Amino acid sequence: MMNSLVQAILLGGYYALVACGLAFMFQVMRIINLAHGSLAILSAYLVWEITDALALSPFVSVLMILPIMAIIGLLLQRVILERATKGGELLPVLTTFGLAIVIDNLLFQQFGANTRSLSPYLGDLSWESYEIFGLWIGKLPVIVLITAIVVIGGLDLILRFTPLGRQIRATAFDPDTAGLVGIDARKIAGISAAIAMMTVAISGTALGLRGTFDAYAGGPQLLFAFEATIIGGASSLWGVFLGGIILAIAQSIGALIHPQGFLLGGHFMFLIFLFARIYFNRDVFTLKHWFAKRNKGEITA
Amino acid sequence: MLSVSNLDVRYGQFRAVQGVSMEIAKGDVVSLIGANGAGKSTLLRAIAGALPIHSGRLLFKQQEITNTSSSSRVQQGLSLVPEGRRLFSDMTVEENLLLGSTVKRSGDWNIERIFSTFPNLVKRRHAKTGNLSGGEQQATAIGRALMSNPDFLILDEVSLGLSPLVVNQVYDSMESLKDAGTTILLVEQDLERAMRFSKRTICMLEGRVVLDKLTSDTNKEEITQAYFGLHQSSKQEVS
Amino acid sequence: MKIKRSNAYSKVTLYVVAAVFIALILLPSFASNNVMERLTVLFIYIIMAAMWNTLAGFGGLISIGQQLFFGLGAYATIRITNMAISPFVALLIAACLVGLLSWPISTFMLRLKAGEFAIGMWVLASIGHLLVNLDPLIQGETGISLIALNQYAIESRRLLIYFAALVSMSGLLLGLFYLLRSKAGIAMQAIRDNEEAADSIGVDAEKVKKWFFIFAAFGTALAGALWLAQASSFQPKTYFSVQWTAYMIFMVLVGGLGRFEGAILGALLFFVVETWFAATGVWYLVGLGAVAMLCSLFFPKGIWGVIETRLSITLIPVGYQVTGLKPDSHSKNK
Repeated sequence: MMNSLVQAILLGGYYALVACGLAFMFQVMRIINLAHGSLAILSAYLVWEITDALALSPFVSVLMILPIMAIIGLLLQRVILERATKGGELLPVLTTFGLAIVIDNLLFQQFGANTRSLSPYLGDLSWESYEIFGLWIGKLPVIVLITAIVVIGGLDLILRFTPLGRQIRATAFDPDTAGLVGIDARKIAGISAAIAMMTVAISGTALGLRGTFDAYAGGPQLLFAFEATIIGGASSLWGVFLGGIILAIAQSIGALIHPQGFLLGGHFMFLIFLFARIYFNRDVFTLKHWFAKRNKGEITA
Repeated sequence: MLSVSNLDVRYGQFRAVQGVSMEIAKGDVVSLIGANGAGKSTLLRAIAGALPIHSGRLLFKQQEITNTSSSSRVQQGLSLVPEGRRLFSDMTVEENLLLGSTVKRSGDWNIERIFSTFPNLVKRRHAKTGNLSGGEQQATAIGRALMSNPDFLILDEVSLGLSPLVVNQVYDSMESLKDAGTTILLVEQDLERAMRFSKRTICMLEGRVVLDKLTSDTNKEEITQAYFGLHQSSKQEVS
Repeated sequence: MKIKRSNAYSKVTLYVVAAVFIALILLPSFASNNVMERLTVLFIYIIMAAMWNTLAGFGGLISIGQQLFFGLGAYATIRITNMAISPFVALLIAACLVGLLSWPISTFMLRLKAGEFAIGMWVLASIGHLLVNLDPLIQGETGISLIALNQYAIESRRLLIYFAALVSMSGLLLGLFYLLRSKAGIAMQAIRDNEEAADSIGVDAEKVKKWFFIFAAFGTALAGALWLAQASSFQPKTYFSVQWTAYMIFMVLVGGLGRFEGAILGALLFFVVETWFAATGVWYLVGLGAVAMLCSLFFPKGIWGVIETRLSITLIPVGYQVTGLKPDSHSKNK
């Protein structure tokens, strides 16, 4: 019992990691990127390739793909999202879904149907554990959890205390006024997408380290990220962190109830939170509040 | 400094601003008068780049800015204090002011000078702007615009919702801007105050300019007539 | 303000549609088995495209989870035939049941915004898939065959499935036609084109969206049930795959989002593309995704939208032509 709770919290660290980029982009640009999971899988393959080809540690390879994913994020914003958002709030959903299909199938084309994992490149680390109060806790999941805390904490510090973070927050809060103050919304959107994709790179690596992945694993990762974001409340990154852990705990409970209940447990927890948000805290969730504010501003102008 | 020619701004089919032209020279202090819905705020927002322009041209310091982004206009020295202040209410006074200096233009304005110009803000420096009084919010909004060291400052209804005492304070502090040679275009509902403050008065009616004169060449009566559209005959020739 | 619906083309269209329908009814008497089987598939594609278009093009709701209804339609058919009911009755009952189920789903899903609705539906599809897997009758991912079909000889089975698909498609398209021509339907199209105009029509958009959602669920479930009849075996993984929604999106985006004719054109195109390129496997899917993405970025109204604006023709008059407003009322679409 205690053991599964600890394992769930560690798994929650991964969910938090994969969710934080999705939530970050949503907060700043009001876009849910449906290619989020597929891009995480793309980074996992990239790390795998570099690790394999250059005989490096995956922890070094991930540093090498960070700039690559940042550039992909910038391109994603400049080439696709910028254009799509001009066409209303539905187009980004369609275009990012199309992108996900393209990425998934290109990965399948390139890497085939076999599942891969990064753990063979870790040597002993892949199975080493700490023994704490009689519980065996894998080092690797602990590393992933700590990474999640560091990434989310780092993003939080950037948002709070740097000029860039201030500009990002201002753009998220009221993009029109941000422009009037001299903030280049385009630049901020590009940087935010780049940052989000760097977290995606880290989360894809974490997935590969913890277990296996294949070309079509992007969809499930997107759903996990989305569920963690909704459970956590989307308004703060630490909320998303908590959301990831709650999702993982719900899945463990599901698995205890029924052998096939792992995913269902998470889904039902997501539905419970969805209900709660819709009926108790609708404004924050549906962003009606935010849109109402913007529209009002435009009409009275 | 600013040249507006034949400007049209629309909301869907509604022509909020129609064929507006005006020239504003360096050092001008212009007040824009007009009833609610006359298109004043729309015009200001279009000049600042917050609204797309349907047709017509905008030149700022001889450079075409018709289709440039609002942030690049701030970069060039054109800054708007929007109606309703539009502060980032979950951030502190200091953070709002720092955001104003995003474009990093050189000039005399810095955060300390803002605090000495608006002494009422000093003790609120680390307060969230959502919790400030109306006067403090307005001061922050003006300060935020000044932080970009603008050559041309546009103020939209700065006295809206403020007590007369606070309005006096705000205008007193703006006198120093005027003295420093900053070009100012402002919308003000209080006609007398507007005439006292500005060197030139422009009156809008139903999206058009119906009067544009040096304040010393006109009087309250003429402006009032233009304001209500009683001066139909002069409308054509002026616009 | 007056609203005019028909035009010179629509009368011609009526005759053409009638002629095609009669031809399709007579077709089994001379067409080969292969042609009939392929046409059955085409009819199902048209249903799927038209239903997704109802939701997205007219209701403004992008769902990535329509495989929920597709899969449930097939699953319910299996369950109902298991109670010794004819499969052709079962598929209608199944679609009605799924339509009924979509009502409570709509009450909370429709409160979500754009992307949240899209992925939220995907999560629901995943839940549907996992729950169906729990049914011992289905035997997990192994799946089950629609054994009840074996009571028909292979020839009559093929004929019955063909007619079931033809009748379903025609019925659903006709239903959609009248739904769109209703006051509510016109209001929804007006909202799509211009929010301001919609206000003056005075229709509760939320309520209409709910009806569109339920109609699309019903139709998609029927498509799933027909697919089951045509393929004769059910594997949860196949039926609840997000690929179905991807196909729907491709058909509608390419054909013309929010255009009645667009969905049909898109389904025809998809059918042709699939016939030619499906053998290329993965590249075919890459192409579908890329084309869908490019269409939504550069031709958000699809091929039919381009035809409509270039030639200004409407074959099927579900739209509205507002007369008596200012001339530029249509020039600025949202």
